[in-house]
Amino acid sequence: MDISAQDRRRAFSHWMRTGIWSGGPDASGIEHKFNPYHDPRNGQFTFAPGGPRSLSHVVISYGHRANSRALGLARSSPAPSQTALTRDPAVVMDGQLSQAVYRPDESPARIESASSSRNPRAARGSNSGAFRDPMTLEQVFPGLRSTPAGGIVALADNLFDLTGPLRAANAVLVQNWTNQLVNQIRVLAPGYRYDSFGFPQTLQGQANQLNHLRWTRAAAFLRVKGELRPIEVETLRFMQESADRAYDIGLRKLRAGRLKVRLSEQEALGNFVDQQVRADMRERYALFGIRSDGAGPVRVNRRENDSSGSELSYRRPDARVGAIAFDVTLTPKNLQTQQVRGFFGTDFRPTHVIIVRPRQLGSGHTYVITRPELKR
Amino acid sequence: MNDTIDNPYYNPEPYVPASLSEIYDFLAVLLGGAPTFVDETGFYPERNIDTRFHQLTEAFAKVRKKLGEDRYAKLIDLAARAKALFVADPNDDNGKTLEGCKLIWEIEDIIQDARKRRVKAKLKDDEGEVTGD
Repeated sequence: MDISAQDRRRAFSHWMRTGIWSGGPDASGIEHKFNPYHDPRNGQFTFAPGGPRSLSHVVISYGHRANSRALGLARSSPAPSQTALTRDPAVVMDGQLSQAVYRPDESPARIESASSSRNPRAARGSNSGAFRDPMTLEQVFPGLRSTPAGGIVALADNLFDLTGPLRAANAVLVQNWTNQLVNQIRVLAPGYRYDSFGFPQTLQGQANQLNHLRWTRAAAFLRVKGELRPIEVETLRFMQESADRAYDIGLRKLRAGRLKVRLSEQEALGNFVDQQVRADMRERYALFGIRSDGAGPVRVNRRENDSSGSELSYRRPDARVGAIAFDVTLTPKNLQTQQVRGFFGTDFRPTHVIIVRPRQLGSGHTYVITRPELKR
Repeated sequence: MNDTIDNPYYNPEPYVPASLSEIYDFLAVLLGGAPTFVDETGFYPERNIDTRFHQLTEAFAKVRKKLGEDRYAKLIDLAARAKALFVADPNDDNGKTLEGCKLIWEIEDIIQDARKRRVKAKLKDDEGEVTGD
């Protein structure tokens, strides 16, 4: 199709602003498509972030804005030669760039290893820190807020593995994280002071220190603000760790004949895990001055009445924090499970039931069930 | 860690089970921790066999009235014998740990029996509910 020079300029201007080519195919019959994502190695189009290959090894540029700026630069100046780029030596293999991310917005433009690349959202003031240090269940269960009634949401992978990030971190980062937690606690409790015998030398010791401070922060939120969300998260984190540990110990003890088997070995193991986790929970709450015996919003294995029927009935969730019920189990449970429906039917009307299963049982071990529409 | 000073969010007093159901759960901790009861995570560095059995016997004292004197005396005796067996088998290689675990099972039977009796007699717990506690 032939278009006038004026129409072509107008179409080009429109394309520059919107990415949409309104001039139709050119004389060769080839249509033009706007794609801000290019592979800097060969100039070919690549998938956008979130595309099917983006999680493997596709090279992407640094967001729309950065690309727009880069495009403008490219129009007004000669294309930078490869020598004008700052390259991360780690990405150069046999003279070829591999597994790299192109950062055209930096001066000079830079290519760095994809594995060491920063999170581009972090530079924009994202909430990525929430995924390292979650304080609400919405940060723990991605998509929870928009899940329909009765829906199930799985736990984010590796969210509870404090030692995972620590392996990649160094003492300075752990110390910074420690200081950040102490400062957060001081905002709530100005007189707070954290004394220790020195900076922990082991990974486990550092994880314990951070856990200690996270629990202190959650306890402070609970007592000073009446805010339950941090303690909900710490409860879940600790319950998961306790269930994992209890499952390992239980299996060992079962094989050694140390557990009393009545109905079956599975029942004996399940009972052991339940009891161990509940005892762990009570001890942990007590350590941070949180009552779990029924006097407050945090309750461990307490009777929760259901007065909706003609006769009073009750359920005993392993733990309850505010309107969240927690159940530790080896067996998967869902809304068809009478016990789970029973939890939702109790008078405290839980908004969510969290099913906690040992991680050794495989993916999808722990999940949250949102409250269904129940007739009362 | 030692942050008891200026820290209202840390309770230095050891947790002591305060009801029959809490004692029942705590018995799993004893079975799991025998014979040394050292905390493998390092979060509770002060934990050992003495602290664990102190928690247990203090818990018996808390529910002494609900247990009755005979059961209470029996439980104290079982706890002492179990602890002695665990102390005598620190490496878990001479069979005494298993014997100690069997005494913990006996304790469990007594606690569960007491709970059943309280439910049958419709005796209320501290919250005014019939739960066996």
